[in-house]
Amino acid sequence: MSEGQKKQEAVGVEIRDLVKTFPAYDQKNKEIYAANHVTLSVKPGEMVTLLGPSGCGKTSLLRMVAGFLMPSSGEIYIGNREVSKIPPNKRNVGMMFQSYALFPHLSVYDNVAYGLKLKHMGKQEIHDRVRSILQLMQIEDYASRFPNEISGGQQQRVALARAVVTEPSVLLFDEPLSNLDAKLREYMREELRKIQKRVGITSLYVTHDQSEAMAISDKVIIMRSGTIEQTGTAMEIYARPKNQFVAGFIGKANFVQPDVIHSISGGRAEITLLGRRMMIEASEECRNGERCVVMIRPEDIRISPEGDLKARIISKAYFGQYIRHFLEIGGCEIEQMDFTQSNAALQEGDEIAVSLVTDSLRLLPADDNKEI
Amino acid sequence: MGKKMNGISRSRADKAFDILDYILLTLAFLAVAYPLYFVVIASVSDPVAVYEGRVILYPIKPTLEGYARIFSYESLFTGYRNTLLYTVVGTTVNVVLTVTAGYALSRKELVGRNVMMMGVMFTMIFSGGMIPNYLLVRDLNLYNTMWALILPGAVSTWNLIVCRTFFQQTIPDELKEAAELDGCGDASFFLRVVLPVSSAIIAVMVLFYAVSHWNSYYNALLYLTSTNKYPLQLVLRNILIVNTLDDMVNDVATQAAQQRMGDLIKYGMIIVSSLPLLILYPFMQKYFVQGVMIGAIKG
Repeated sequence: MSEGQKKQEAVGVEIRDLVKTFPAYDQKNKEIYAANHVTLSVKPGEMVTLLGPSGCGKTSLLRMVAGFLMPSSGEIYIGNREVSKIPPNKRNVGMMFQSYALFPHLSVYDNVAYGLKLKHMGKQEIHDRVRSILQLMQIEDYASRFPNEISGGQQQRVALARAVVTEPSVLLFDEPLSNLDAKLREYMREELRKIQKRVGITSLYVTHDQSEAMAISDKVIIMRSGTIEQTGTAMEIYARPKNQFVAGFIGKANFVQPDVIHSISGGRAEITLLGRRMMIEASEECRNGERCVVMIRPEDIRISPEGDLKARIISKAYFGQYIRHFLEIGGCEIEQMDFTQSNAALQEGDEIAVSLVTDSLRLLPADDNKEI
Repeated sequence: MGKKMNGISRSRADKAFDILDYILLTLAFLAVAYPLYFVVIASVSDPVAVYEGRVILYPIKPTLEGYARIFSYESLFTGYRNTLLYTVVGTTVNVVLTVTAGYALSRKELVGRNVMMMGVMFTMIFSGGMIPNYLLVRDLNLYNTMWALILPGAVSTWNLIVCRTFFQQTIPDELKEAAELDGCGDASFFLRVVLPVSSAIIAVMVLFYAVSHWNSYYNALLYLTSTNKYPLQLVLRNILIVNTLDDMVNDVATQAAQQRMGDLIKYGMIIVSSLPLLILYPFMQKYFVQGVMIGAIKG
């Protein structure tokens, strides 16, 4: 599977009505859902990220696909094969773990060759495949070193090499970048994505880092309390979140209660917000008569003398690429990001005029769980 | 001491503390090392000088008479051979059982492991006692066999806990899962991954058990009747008894000489019986410390 070699034939993953419950420790006869009737599909060669807060069930879902956790009910298909009751080593999946799980007593070469040896492959074939994969991961110079003699980034490449050398149908990633520092993490996620595309393996990636999910995935699945909240591309989810939880989890957002909701129909809503009547997009989950909030992304508030809303700067912070202001508008505290930096001279306490990019505003069902 | 450390000069209180530290450590070292040194010089000194308390810093009228007397007993070599056999076989049995049981008890997927652990812990607090143990050994037909010294204490509860704690702390679930994905079964994982990365705990167990077997004499005293099966410690004990208590001798001078010779033999015996461990100990010391620390972290 060297560079330039054609991609292996990829298969998809399908999860149908999957349920996994655990007994609650604090309450007798109560169960906690790690997966609550989850249904999803990953197309062949696609990289899909499961994103959600701690305890949302994303790792449990991944472990059920790997075979380390038995589902309470439901089905898991890898290609056309139902695998939910077969052992991990018979599923043909590779996995990259959070701690890399490298064997400390084996060299880089032997770590990568381990799975092939267990498959009783010939020595020459093992050698060729290991060399080829080490080359692909650019770690061939470290073949004779032990895991404790290489850096975190190199260890991660070894872990990836070990996961893909057996040519699995599906590659699973369990927060593989969480142990790296911010800069290396950013670099490695690009590398991971490149390698995944080059090898063409169907991948399921678990993370709680939204920027990682957005950068690396073809498709993002947002999870909460064992259920899927929304599935889509990063752009779809960012621009058109279904509810307040999703909007708050992907990117930053202000949520403002509209003064009046006049009507909701056909994905549009007529509302009065901060004293201005306007038409904005509405989530399909919004219902007339139910409590809703308006999502305003910080970059959708423009500071300009022509703005029709009066605001006061509560606080200001410089972040290099942008300046963040906390503004008081109509009694609400709202975060604003100024990427133009044309208003750098503004000071805390200044009275200014702002306008909203109404095309980007979105009416969402209010989330009373506050689990954001 | 007193020098700048990392470019920062040390305060007077720090310097005083360092001096006190060195004094206390030197005293502690002498308290441990001097008795050992004394045994060595006393074993090669004139027994009269030892008796009169003149041997303090170096041997007086050096003699190997004590050693000559000890090595004149053929049973000593039989004892050495037996002890070596009991130590090697016993330690092997101990380590195999303790390490495998410790590993199994460290795995979360072992159903009922908490109940098993409670059962094991129970034996740490309550034991049957000497007579029930004796009856058990007799009824199992182990009496007067090597196995009477090996099987009853085949697994030490303390060592089992140390082992289990080590595996819990050093073998993460992810390592097992990674191997499992590659098609590695439980036994294969234990042999190919767990054992190679557990050399430290295995060395600790070998050391703990081997020292215990080497020094053990009480069980041999209870369960062995044939003198040709006696371990070294028991043989040495008998040699000492023979050389100090002879009721047939009525002459006071002869009795005193025998008493002094007995002392000389005693010191020689300490050296003879401890020498193998003293030679090995410096090489095993780091594992010994490690083992104590593992036990100290978590029970």
